[in-house]
Amino acid sequence: MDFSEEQLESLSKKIEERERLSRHRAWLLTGIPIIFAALFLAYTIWQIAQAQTKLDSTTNQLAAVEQDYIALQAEVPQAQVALAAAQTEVSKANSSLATATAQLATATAQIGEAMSELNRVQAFAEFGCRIDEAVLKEYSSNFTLQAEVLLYLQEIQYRDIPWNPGGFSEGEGFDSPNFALFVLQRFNLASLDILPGTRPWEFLPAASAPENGDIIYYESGYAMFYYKLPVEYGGTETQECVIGMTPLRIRSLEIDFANQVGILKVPYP
Amino acid sequence: MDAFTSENFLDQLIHNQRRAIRYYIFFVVGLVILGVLVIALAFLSPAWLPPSTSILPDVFKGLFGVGGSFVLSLSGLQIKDILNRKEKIQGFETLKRQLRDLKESPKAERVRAQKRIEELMWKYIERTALS
Repeated sequence: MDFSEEQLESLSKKIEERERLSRHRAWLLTGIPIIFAALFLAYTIWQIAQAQTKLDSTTNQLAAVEQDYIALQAEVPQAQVALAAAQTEVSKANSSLATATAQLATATAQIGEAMSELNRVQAFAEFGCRIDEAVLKEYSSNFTLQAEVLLYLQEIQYRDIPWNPGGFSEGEGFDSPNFALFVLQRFNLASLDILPGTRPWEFLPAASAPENGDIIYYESGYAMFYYKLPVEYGGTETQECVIGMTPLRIRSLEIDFANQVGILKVPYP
Repeated sequence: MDAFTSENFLDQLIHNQRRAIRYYIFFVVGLVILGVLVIALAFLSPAWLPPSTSILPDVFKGLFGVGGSFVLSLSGLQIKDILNRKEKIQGFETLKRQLRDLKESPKAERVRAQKRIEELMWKYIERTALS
């Protein structure tokens, strides 16, 4: 193998070229990883800086929350005192409410009683049987004992004698059978030996049809004196009334104000 | 090409390789300085970062430390190149010595041996300088 000067020159140039390429390769092999590493490093640091910013923000928020918490803790004793006061108030209110409820119950019961009384009054008022004064005067002018009893019954209505179960005097009041017994004994139509509490149907005979002065007794225990009189003076229309003690004191009522049980014959002379 | 020419050419090749070695040494030194600077930056980061940051100083230290080490490790590639080139220089030096020794040998033997050495030289040049 023989080489001229020119060939050697060319070979030298090739070698030089190779050397340049080799240096460029060295730069690339070193530079590219460094650039990538720098980019990666910068990105990571940027990410961490973002995380740091978020962390700082969260830390600040946490500090604010902690401050709020401390402030709230400082307010707790005051709130507990207020709560205790409120609980006392509630207890008082509950007590007042219980009292008011009891009072309301009492009032309700009283209203109930008043209502039932009112209903009774209304019932008796509906069945009221007014005896005309002129008719009474004419009826009593024949001076029969029935008329005297009727006059007495009319007159005693205005004495305001109270209803009193078991009572047997004008002062203490009567129940209905005792009042009937009291009237009968007053006019000697029943023996004075008959004791209060004895029912008229226990000592008077029954009758099929009532006559003036007889007693009609009802399911509810009322014993009432029966009278059939003209509605108006001089008129032909008559009305049948019964008079006796009721829970609303002595009243003159229509004959069918309650369900009849029987008729008792009073032994008028 | 006579022995003198070949020897001159070998000198030129040796010179080229030495120049390349110098270049790579500067390259390695540059990379080492860069790596050391990055690592120093990592360790000095607490001094210039704001003290309120709780994460960044440690992260800077870690990441820049790794980065500096990476740059330093890249210099290893260039060192390998330097060693290769030193081997090539040794080869060229050996050939040059052979050619020099050949000058003192008898002419018939010198011509034959020179031819063989030149063939060997070109093969070596092809394998080393042009590869």
